[in-house]
Parts: sequence; C-alpha cells; structure tokens
Amino acid sequence: MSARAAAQLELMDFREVYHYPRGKADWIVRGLPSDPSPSLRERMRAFPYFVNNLLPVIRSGWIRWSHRSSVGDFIDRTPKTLKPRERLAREAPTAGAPFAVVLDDSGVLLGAIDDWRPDVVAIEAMISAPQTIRPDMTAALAARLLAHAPYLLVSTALGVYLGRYRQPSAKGGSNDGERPLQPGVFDASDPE
Amino acid sequence: MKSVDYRELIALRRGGAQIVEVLPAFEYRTTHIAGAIHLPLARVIVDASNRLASDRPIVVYCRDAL
Repeated sequence: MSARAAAQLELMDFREVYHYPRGKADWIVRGLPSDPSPSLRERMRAFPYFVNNLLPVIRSGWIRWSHRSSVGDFIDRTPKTLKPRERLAREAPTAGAPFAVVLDDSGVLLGAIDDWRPDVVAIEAMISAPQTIRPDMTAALAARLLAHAPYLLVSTALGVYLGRYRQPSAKGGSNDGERPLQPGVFDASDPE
Repeated sequence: MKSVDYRELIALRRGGAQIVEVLPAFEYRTTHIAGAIHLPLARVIVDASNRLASDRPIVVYCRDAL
C-alpha cells in the first residue's frame, strides 16, 4: 500500500519520495514517538506484524509446513497491463473487472481500471486503491477477503504487481476449505 | 523510490521530511507517527499537490510489510 502511494507521488513529480515498508507496526513496537501514544492493546496488536516484518520466513514456513495453499499458487495474469499515460482503447477487454491494471516502469501497481472509458488516459481512469494481498497469504484467508471485495490483486511488499488472485475451484486446488483457519496471528480483517 | 528503515526515518524526520500515513482515518486516529500527515491511499493522486510540499522529502508508510 505505501509502495503504491510512493509510486503515485513519484508519478506526480514529487522528487524525493521514500517508503517505510515495515510501517507503523515497526514504529509502535520500538516505542518511537506516536500520537496519541499507543495503548498496550495497540502495541500487542502490532507485535505479530513486527515479528513478521523481521522474519517473514516464519509465516511462509508455517504455510508450507501445514500444507496450506497460498495465494501464490492461484495467480492469474489475465488483466491487461497499462502504462499510466497510455490511453484506453476503444474496445474494452472482454475479461471482467478489473479490465486492466496500471503499472509504473518498475512494475509497481498504481491502480486498476474497473470502468472502461475509451480514449481516457489510464491514470485518470483508474481507481488508485484496489485491495491487494501478498502471495504468501493462505488461500483460505484470501477466499474470506474475496467475499467482501470484487477482486483481489496480488503484489509484493514492495508494491510490484504479480497478478489477480484466482479463487481455486471447489473441487480442487486449495486444501484449505477442508480445514479450519488457524486463529489469531494474522487477522483476516487486516489486509493491506 | 527508496525503502528506509526506522533509523533512516528518524533522520529524515529530524531533517524536516513530510511523513505521510496512507491508512484509513480510523487507523490514523488510533495512533500515528508523531507529526504524520494523513493522506489515505485513495486520495493521494487527488490531494497530494495541495497537501504536500514538493521541495521537501516525503516518507510514506502504512501498517506493515504484509
């Protein structure tokens, strides 16, 4: 999310833009100046994210060890990709929303096009905050998020676009449908 | 764009950089980096020109790297 915002700012000609990928969780757990000062509950909530920031291998290892499917197994590259200044063609792609995604020169996702407006420049036609998830999220959690979003796009922590999450069919693909989700550490209400 | 860690962010903050939180309003109200500006992701392209100075560094953050 912050990588996308930074890429958008660079596109707007802000020259010196930085991105703090470890984010507020890192800042809070380290006890650095915050406003208002975070409650103990906030610090506790931030802690799992802090740990994952430092050691993402714990989470990805847990997914592998427990034989869960991850989002990375179900990525679809169908949506058309556009450059920010590219004009939309007269004919909309036949695939459903998003019709296209807008990427900067580094492949960072800037936004998605849900409403096809011929001849309009991509950056003006896009929505800038489509929901994104990471490839190492469990497919079960992604399926729960997808119940509340028209689609989910997959990107890395540095904002690089990987594709659209394609929900596995009921018959096969994910084995997560047969298992209850592990409670707790990474809350379903906390997507990017 | 360059990624920074908390040490670099402290130095940039001391040097007058604009710190920008792009999370939703309720997240910002709960707590944010002291002095951070709130500019939700969906408003960046619309509002950044009016709310941010182009001659000072900007550091953008959200909640975590997940």
